[in-house]
Amino acid sequence: MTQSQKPEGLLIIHTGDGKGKTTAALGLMMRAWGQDQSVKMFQFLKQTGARFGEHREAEKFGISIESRGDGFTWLSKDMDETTAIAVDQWERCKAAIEAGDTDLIVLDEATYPVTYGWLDVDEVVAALANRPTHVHVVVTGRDAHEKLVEIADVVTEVEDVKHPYRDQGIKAQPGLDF
Amino acid sequence: MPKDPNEEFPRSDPAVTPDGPEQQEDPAPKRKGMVVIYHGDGAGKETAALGVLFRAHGRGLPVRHMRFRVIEPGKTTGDDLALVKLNVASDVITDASQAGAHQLWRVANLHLTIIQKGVLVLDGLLDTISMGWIPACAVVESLSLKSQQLHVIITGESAPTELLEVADLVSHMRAIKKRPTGATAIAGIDF
Repeated sequence: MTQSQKPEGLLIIHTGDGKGKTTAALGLMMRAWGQDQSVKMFQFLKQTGARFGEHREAEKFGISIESRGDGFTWLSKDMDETTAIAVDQWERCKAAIEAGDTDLIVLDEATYPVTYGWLDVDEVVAALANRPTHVHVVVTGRDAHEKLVEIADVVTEVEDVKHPYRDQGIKAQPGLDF
Repeated sequence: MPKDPNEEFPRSDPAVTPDGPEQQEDPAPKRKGMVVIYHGDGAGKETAALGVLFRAHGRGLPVRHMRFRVIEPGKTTGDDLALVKLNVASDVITDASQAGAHQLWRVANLHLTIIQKGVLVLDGLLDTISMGWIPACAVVESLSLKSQQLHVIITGESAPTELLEVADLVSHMRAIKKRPTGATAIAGIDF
């Protein structure tokens, strides 16, 4: 596909309290990757170097998933450090988006650093709104900021109808949940 | 900004469950093969099912994909291409009719009996139930017979009450914003 035939990139948001936001973004990555497009995922919060099922699978197939975070942010002893990690990760996201050589970029759990004020919402909105027109961006996480929702093309709220951890005390399971 | 992050973002949220030595392993973690339903009018149901498959495959679990939705003839979907690249077996409905649905449902029943662990995706099965092609009670019965180590992911627009009752995890994908009707389908995003 040549540059001129490329469709306008979409901004897609998966928000809400239910399970399936990151998972759906992973599936979208898989779909685009199936179409021989270039895909990248940047994860916020999840520990740097996390080895979930998606990381193992991505590694095998040469798909880039970069996680940078310190896991349980509210347990962080050094909030400046937590903020710095988020800002640093955002700089990487921004550079990848602006480079324009990736068809689909997922900013996983990116709503949280915005909600907690570690990233400036106006800066994030500006970077997404002014991105190269062919780049698709997917943002996941609860409580997506209204300014993000406003500029998005597709917004899905994943509602929690039944949750096994809450309803049955079943723990997150490798392969299914991470 | 929430005052107490614990409330807004509970520790048990599996989205941030760490996968490192920090994880406190329960001596006997309560685990079981889940019935997962992704339904609703919003985007992300099929992709969520694919995402689970991607994860499970990454963990080395056996996975299988079944699609009860008919794709436009001649259209090659990214989903199918990705499954081929991952070397994941898939079965697809060939005819959007009761006969076509029954045929695939028979295969699904075999999988549900034979596959002992991993993930089985039944994409679009809910829609064949809504069409009246496959009775919800038959699906409930087959699910009750499946292995306790097998996770089954079921998707579609709307789910019957009987199925919601037996499901372990149900997420409803609600469309807050959709692309305009008639917008050109984008490869890699829509298919």
